[in-house]
Amino acid sequence: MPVTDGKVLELVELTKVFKGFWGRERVKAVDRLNLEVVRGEVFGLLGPNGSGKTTTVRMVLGLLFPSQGAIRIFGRGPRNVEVKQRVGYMPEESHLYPYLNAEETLNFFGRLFGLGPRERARRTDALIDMVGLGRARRRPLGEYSKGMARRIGLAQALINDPDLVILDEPTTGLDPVGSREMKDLILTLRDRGKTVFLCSHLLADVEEICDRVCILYGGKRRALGTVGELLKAEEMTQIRTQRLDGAIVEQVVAAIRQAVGPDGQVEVSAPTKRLEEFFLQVVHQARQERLMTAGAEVGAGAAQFLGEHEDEDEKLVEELVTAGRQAEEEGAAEEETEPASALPSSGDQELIEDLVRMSDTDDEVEEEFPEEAQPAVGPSVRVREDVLSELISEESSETEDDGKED
Amino acid sequence: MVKRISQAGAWLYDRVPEMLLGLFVLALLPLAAQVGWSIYAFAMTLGTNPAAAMRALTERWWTTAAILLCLGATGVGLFMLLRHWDSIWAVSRKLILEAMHRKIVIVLFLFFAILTPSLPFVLKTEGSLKSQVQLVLLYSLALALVLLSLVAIFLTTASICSEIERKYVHVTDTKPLRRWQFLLGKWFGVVILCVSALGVMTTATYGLVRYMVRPPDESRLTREERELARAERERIRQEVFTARRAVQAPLPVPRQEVERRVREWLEAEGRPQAVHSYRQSVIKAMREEQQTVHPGRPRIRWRFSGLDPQSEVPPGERDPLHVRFKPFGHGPTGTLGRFYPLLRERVEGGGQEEQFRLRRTTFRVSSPPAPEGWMSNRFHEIMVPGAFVQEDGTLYLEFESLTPATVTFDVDDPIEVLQRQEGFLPNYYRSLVMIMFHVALLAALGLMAGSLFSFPVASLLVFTLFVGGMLASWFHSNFVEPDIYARLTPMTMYIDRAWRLAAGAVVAVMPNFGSFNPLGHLTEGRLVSAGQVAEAGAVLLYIKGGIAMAIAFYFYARRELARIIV
Repeated sequence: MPVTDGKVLELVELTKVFKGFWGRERVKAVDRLNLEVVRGEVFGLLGPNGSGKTTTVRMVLGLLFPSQGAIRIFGRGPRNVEVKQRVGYMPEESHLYPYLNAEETLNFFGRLFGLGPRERARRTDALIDMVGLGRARRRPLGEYSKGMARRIGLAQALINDPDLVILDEPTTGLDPVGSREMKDLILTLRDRGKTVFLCSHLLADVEEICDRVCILYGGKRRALGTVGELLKAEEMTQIRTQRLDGAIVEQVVAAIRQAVGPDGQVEVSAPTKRLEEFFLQVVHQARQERLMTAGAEVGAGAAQFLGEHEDEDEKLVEELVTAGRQAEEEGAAEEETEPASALPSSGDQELIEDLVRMSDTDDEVEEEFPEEAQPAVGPSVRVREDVLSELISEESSETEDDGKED
Repeated sequence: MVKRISQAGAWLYDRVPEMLLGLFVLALLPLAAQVGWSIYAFAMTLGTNPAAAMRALTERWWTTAAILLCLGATGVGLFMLLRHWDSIWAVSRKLILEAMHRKIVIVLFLFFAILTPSLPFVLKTEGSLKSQVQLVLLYSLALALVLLSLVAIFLTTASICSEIERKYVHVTDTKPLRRWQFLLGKWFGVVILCVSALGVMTTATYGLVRYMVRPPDESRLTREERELARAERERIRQEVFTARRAVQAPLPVPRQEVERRVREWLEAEGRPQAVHSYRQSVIKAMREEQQTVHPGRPRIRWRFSGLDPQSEVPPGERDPLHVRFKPFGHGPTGTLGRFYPLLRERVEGGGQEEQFRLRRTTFRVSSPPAPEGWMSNRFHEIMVPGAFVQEDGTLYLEFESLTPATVTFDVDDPIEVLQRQEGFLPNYYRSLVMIMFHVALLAALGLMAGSLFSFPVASLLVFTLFVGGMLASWFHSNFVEPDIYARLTPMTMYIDRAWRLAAGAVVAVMPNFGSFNPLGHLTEGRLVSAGQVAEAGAVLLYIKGGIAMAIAFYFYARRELARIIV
């Protein structure tokens, strides 16, 4: 594959013009869009209805052809078969064959990726468990609820253990449990070195999981950056602590008022639990009481095979380091007078060791501070969220179907 | 127990596509064996008698070209299929599951299972068992052909169009599947499904006709009835359950006379665009003149060459020949005349060059009696012993009229001699292969239309092509060939010419199913030769089907599979 400098997806001056019957230009769905998505990030594409999100995704998938500009995925065109081998796509609606059941569906897509029968069976089982459809695995997809269809849609997107996962409205149609699982899975995928490119209307979700976002309006890029950069409220400060006595609160407020002056904005409130958190608690309790459900069950976490080759990469690095050390030791033993420059440079050595250490420490951090992956939404960031909501609700009066189609 | 049965059922259901694939391969094995054997036989001939082998190749160049095209294209097709097997089979397999889900196969078999056994009771026949067997064979296979054609048309068009309209391609196309693989997979799936269905249907048909000609319980019959029944069964064996090669006698016409008449007509009419049609009409009229007997010219002779003399078999045991003819005319009922096979004898003292004369023997066969007011379009068959074929494979036959009426032997379906070449089953198999070529072409046309149009339009287009292809000969004779009797003004002449050119172009692109329909040959016990199969394969499958697939690949690969919604 060509060298990509870590760029997984690159859109250069991407333009899509919709022409009428006589070839006259009617509207520019996407207008000179430039984007870069790098390896290992979760990238969110936002925008109101008709902003060109879906058109962009469809061009990235090779379903629509650009009028101008270029799309490069892993340095190649989107219709290249080798590129498609590394891409997984979950559409917004369940565009899957309703007469096939979950097993047949995954088996079919597994065949398209040239997976052998054993590997197909292994991945099928793992993915069905992952999305919690074990009991519905032999039911035709036509009988699935929307949420279940989304789950199988996700499973098929991951059958090839893709390096780039494209998700169209990943949490739409999912219940809060499924939605939480989906978000956790996206973060897990990122942690396993995958790149996730998603478009969504649900800003809270995007904000929670995306490293960078791009906001489109009228087919043009209006904003691009990390979530932190875009949502940072420079003029506000938020203090959070455990419950305090009223007297202490008054003292603190008085101190703040003194600092910000009589016109300054100070709000004091007892934080409430988020509804999602509360809902998950209730469902968790119901499951502990072993109540039956005909629908999807709780997912089993990310399938083991996802990112297996990433582990292989790490092994490779480890082997390289070990080989380097062995060579160093052997060199030291056999040729004591050998100058140090003949060995791998100490800088390189450190870099490789750092790499290995980093991957180890990452895991530890995740175990120690799992909540770091789910940043809390504080009042200070709501300011910008309102702005985003305003942007997105501009065309909310359109029909639901239109909404689906961007 | 119930759970185990249910599990076994589910296991079997999951493997239906693989079973159908197995059936498909099994169905093609005899064809592969025949092709292999033919290549081996040709190689042997080439080694022992190169001149004969080359003569066989060049004698009918079109058949040779067709065979070479079929072999080459099959080789390339197999290579591509095996090289991209995983992707193509995945799509084919899914299409078969789709067809099962849509209950297409079940409805197909149900329809066939109800209609076929009822045919012997429904069809009107002459009353003889032979005609009943022929009609059941003809209508069952025609029914299978029509049903499978409809399945091929609707399955391909519906499948492609629904993939696009219901956006299934939005997922499938993002997988590492080339678009031509997707289309080829669809085509292959339809072909597997139709071949398997055809296999089941035609096995059932064969079983039915064999059951119809089973030996009767002779203990209940009188001696006369027994003999009649045996004779009837023997007749069916000789005339239906066989594969006979047809040899026609040449009907030469004096070219100079034809050209003289054409020149005279051209000078009088001045319509050069109709010269060809007029020349054909002159030749036909002259041939009809030759093939007519009347009181002033009561005899006609024919010379049939290229028959197998069966020299290695004693004369009394040689397979009989069947003379098939279609007389028409108008006159009293009764015997039209008698046929005399002639023997060729060398004339003694005939000079330096050998001279022969033909003589009758005591053997003669009367033609069947003409029905009341006989403007007949019916074929008749009479039997002639095989011993009358000369050593060089020639048979001389003479007809002597016994009626005062004028009798003409049809020149469009001229008199011919049928000689047994092989058994019924190989012939039956080759006919089925030709039927499959029809279905495969329709599947390719379905994909082409599905790649270009939405569902109802695509199906309707292919269905129109299907019906048009069935009537292509009729279209050609009525709309393309110029009418030599029409009186045209200069203006209407140009309109006529433009119209016929346009109609000619339409007919040219229509799949001419009529010219490759084996059912007539099969039911009359006539040989459907390997050459005919190769020609059908070359034209229907590889040329027309290939063009349709190429168009489908071209447009589908360049088509945007999603809509822009703004």
